Amino acid sequence: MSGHRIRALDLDAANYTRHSLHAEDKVWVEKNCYVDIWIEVIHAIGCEPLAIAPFVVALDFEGDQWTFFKPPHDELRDLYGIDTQELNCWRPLIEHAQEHLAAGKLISTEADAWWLPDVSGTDYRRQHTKSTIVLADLDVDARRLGYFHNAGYFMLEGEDFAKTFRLDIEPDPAFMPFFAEFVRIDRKIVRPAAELRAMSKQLLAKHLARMPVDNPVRRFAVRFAQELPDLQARGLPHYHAWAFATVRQLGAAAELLARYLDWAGGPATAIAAYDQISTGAKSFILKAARAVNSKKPFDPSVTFEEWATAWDTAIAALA
Amino acid sequence: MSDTATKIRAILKEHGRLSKDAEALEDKADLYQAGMTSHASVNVMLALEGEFDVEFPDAMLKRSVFESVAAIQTAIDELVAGK
Repeated sequence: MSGHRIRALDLDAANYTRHSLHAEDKVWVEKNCYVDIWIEVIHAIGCEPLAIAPFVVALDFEGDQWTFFKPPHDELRDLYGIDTQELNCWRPLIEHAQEHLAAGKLISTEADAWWLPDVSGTDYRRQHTKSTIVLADLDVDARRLGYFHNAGYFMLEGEDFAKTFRLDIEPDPAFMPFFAEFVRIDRKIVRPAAELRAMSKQLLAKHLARMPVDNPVRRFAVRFAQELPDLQARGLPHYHAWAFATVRQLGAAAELLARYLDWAGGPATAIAAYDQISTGAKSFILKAARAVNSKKPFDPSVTFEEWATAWDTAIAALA
Repeated sequence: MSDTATKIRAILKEHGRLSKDAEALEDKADLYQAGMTSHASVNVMLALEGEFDVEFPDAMLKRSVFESVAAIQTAIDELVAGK
């Protein structure tokens, strides 16, 4: 396998400028890996990712996790002209990547974070974790890849490249290919800001109509009280996974909604309410970690009720 | 370097998962820029509380308090003085 450098986007990982949603002043710089890459892909092609945020308003608590919020494909197409389709991985991923990047398409694929050097603080060469990346710049000869991951755009090479694409190993019939999609940006639409805001407000109305019928924060409060002894028994590594699935999604979603409403000209009461949940969730993650570590009693019911009230306040202001 | 700063750097070295040497960082260098994730910052906070026998009050449980050696030291000095 050989080939020259193929770029679907002309980006420089060393000098890449993130969208403001990923600026260091944010309470939750990273939201979840899927929405984060979409924020950056939309930003990198010259569009405004805030417009896609209304789907987050229908966040729900699903028993053992909060909604892992992902932008609907039809809304990506309507707002930005981005067309996302499943990539049928019938041959090695690197061959698909050469085909589609050369045609100006991006490829979104699950990947093992063990081989993603941008997460040197967590999973890189420490833990096998499924994450989503977007391939944008491929050099097969040099074994170098430019890719979106989490809140930024990065470059990997060498052994990380070989392992990410499963090169230099015998084919394993038991290996199940990662899920992948290709992302067509050839018909992208860069809309004037006023038009984008107007379309986005219609999306907000659509998603408000599919809100949970009750207050999911109160359901989460009940579940947490039941689950705390188990969290304390299992310890910090388990707690970190739990916190990512629960409080992190709630807090990051709340901040994303607050920044969306800033952009969309939404009501100040809703912005303040979502910010309250966002900052509260940030400190809650630390306080709950302390309770798990110390195994001491921890009763956050007052905090949860404040969030639940803030949730109701935000929804009432948006209705 | 103060004793407090030395202990903070030792904790960052063990728990911060920084991409740079914690002992060579500038006091005001941004730890998040140096690779500390929110996940790692939780472990840093717990180690600081254990080392200095303090508990960060709610108002200090925010990203900015853990953003640099200097910021952490300011918080620790305040908490230790108030014991």
